[in-house]
Amino acid sequence: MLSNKTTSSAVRSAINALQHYKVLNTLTNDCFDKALETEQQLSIEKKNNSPLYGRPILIKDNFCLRDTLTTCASKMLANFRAPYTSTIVQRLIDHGCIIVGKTNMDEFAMGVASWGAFGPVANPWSLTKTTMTNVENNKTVLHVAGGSSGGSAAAVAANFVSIALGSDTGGSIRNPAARCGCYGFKPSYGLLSRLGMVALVNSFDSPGFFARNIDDLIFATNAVAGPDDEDATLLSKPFENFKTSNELSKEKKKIIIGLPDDYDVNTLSSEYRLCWQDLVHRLTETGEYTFKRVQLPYTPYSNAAYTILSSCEIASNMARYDGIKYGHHTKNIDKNKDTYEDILKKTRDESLGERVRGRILAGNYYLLEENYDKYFVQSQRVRRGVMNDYKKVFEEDKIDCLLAPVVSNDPITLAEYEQADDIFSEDDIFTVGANLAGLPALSFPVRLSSKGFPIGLQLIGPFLKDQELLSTAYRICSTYQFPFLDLTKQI
Amino acid sequence: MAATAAAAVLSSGRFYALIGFEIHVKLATHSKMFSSSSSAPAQTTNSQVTPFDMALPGSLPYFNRTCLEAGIRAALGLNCQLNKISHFERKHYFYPDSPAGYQITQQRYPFASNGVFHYPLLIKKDKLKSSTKYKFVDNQNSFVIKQCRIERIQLEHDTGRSIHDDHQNRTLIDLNRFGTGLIEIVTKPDIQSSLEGESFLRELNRLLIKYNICEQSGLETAVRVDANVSLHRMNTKPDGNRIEIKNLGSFIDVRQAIDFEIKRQEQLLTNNYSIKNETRTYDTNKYQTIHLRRKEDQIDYRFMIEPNLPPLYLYDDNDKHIYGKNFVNIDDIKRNIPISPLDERKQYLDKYKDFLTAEHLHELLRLDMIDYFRDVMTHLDNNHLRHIALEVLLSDVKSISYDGRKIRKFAQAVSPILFADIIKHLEKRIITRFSLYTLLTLCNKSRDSTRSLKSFLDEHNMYAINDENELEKICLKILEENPKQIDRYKTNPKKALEQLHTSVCKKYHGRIHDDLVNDVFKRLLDKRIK
Repeated sequence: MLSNKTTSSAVRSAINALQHYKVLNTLTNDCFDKALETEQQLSIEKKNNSPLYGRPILIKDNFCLRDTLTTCASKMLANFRAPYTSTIVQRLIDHGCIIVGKTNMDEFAMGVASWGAFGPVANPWSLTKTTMTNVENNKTVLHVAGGSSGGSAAAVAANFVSIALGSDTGGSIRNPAARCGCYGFKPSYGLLSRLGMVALVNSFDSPGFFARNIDDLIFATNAVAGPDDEDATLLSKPFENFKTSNELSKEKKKIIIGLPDDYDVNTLSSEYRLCWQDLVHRLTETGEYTFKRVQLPYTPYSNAAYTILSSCEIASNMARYDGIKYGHHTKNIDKNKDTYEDILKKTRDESLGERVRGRILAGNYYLLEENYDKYFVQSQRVRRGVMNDYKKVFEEDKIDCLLAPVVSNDPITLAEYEQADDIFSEDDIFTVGANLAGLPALSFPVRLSSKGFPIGLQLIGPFLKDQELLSTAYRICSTYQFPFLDLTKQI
Repeated sequence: MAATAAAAVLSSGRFYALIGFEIHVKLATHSKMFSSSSSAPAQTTNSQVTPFDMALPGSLPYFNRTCLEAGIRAALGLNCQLNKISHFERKHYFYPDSPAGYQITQQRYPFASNGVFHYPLLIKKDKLKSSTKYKFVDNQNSFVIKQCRIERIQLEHDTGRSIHDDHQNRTLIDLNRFGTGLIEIVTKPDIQSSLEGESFLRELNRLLIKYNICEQSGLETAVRVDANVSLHRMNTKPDGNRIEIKNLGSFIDVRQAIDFEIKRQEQLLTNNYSIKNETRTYDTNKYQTIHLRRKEDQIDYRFMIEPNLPPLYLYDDNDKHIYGKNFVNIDDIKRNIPISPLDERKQYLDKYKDFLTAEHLHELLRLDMIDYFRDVMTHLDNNHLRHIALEVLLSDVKSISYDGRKIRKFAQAVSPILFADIIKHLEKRIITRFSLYTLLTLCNKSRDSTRSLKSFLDEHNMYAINDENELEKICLKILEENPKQIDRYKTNPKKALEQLHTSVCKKYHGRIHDDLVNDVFKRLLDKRIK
């Protein structure tokens, strides 16, 4: 244990907290030594004007950082040290951020429990439940932190760091943000470079941030957004920084918020529905908001379309993992018998988890010549339907943004999750729409449930109206106080 | 011989062949199609590999503009329709030289389609008469021009290179080649024989080099060909089945593989077997095609739109919104494209019509000498000299270059300037016509292509003997050594002169002008008689 030389070392505090709360399993691997070195260097060098200068941050372990393990919580990449740094991460480093470690996640970002090859992330709120202990071993019962960016969400929610980087393909930022009780922002597709972010579904993947206030989301996004001449899917227009709460005009125009009927599904618990309704009432009372019920008729099909399209791209993106260039390679080789195909099969069987293999299998099925039209192309048509639903609501019905749930009930325990059999979560219905349409979406905590877990909601905005979305979120969240967790106080 | 067997099959009138090609052309660009690494050939193993080239997690493709421009030039040269919107797709299969497990190509939506390419049939006219049902155009100034329709052209990248090490039972992978830009040209099955096939490919090769689409380099083959061949009974409709022969590396291989297939399929049809879809490979040692896989084993490549590359939009002068922006404009490229080989040859026929016929040009084409011819012509300033040059090219040079097979080596050793110089010397009678073969052979063998003509002539003493006195002395000596001929001259002057001529030429290899020496002998002998 390194001794605490300077009392005001932000990095040291982060390290202490992360080590103290190892039980939450938020990290796959750490960069503690380098972080402390960097902090020293930055304090000597000339400070740049970035509000992020000197801030310790965490990045999800599917972002490449040069010479650092980038595992995607998979056995396949357990030994993979990236020879390059992703654009987003490099821009954060250039702004003076100090990377303290890589956060735990679902294997290759598939799932809603952040349970990969290195075990699950635990919801930090589990530790506040002193009444919940396991009868058998007297240990605290742990709950899922959501996924797939659970490690980043948990660390921010518990105040180990103030900002963490994640990725959202079907809800992987918004879901854990809602479960852990912090802000999670997925910008419009095409604003943030995906170079160096291990691809899950290229068409839907979006890097994004967790924070404890909206201004920090803005600082972080401003530091990284904009064109990258190595990512052909980005908008080529130069990026204009988002304005923070201070910079925005104080004039408050009336905001029209849509409530999608199609998101009010049976699986939504009455407690979580009530939270949604209560917020609507409260905001209506301020006189600054009008709420309209809106229809998104393609919603029931969006999950199927998402499932098919994502499986196809996943099967394709996973084809590179053969152990020849990097990553896990089987040692179980019969030199006299094994062909290239045999070795390939063993390598992938041994190192890719069950969920990953399931998606690959499904994707390869949908991509067969005879199935392509029926599944892939048809799903793209449904996707266009989903996009047009949103477009119509925003443009014709003049809606500024939508307010909707993110998850339907309190998180289950890790033990319950292990027993469960389902591959897909019913909660996906709330989040995949924004990914299919490339829209900006922001998850924010509202209040605690009766069992003491955060209940979060999300705002979904029109394409490229990220600034308006952030401003609206700020305004809404200023009308109440959410009891953010701070586990560092107890060290 | 497969060639005669195949020709017999086709000329029997009982069968016809349908042949189409899938041609992979390596684009002559500095960097690769989707990454910034260099595409230079023959570099240190695995030294030209970016994260994308080795499919590192998180790597992304970025399309290289010069590859698009080269592709458009090919499409224009092949008279294709340019599709203003096209898409990149992933073609999935597992193989060690394909790091991502897929290749980026254009399967369903290629950028160019529906073209047609005209090419001259390369055959000696006398052979043409005897071979099957070709329309023989009995016109001095025309070629037999055939056409082949182009189905599509697609942009894609090359795979890495596998090096099989049988001693240590392993395969080594070099990714330098992975990602280099290719276009694949797919023709319709308009080719009807191996001769047509070779003629088509040769003309296509000329176009690709002239339009700077691929390079003619000795380090790597820029063009790889797969041939689809099916034979059918005359008056029956094709059923769509065909044999695919993969990876033919040279014009000769293409010809031999097609001829072998035609004969093989004829055997099958004659014995009442039908042709089923099959993929075969060509064995260059045994001159045979060999089975690789059947239709049932054909791979489903699970094509999927490439999500990391937006649709490819092409623009032309009509798209006003691109003015001032740096987008690729098809019409711009059209304006700057060189003249086609076909049109260029028409120009030569016109420019040099005093002495150049279509037959000459045809022979030059067949010998792969067009470029050399063009260059030599520019170094000679009158048609008389040019005519002489042409004659020498089509006789001595044709022979020395092994019927054109080694013409590239010849052109390097004997530069067009040197050759032109030789012709000028010949015209001035500084050297004789008979010395040319030896002289050219010497120049061709020399390693130093900058040596002056004078140094060759000096070293080997090849100057013609033009001095009358010296010639007379030589002739007198010959007469002394050949008294029989003196006598013979009285009864058979023609034969005697011939023999004397032979003798003097034997002694003074290539330094004797026929007309001069004949006159001298005649004069001396006539004097004797008197």
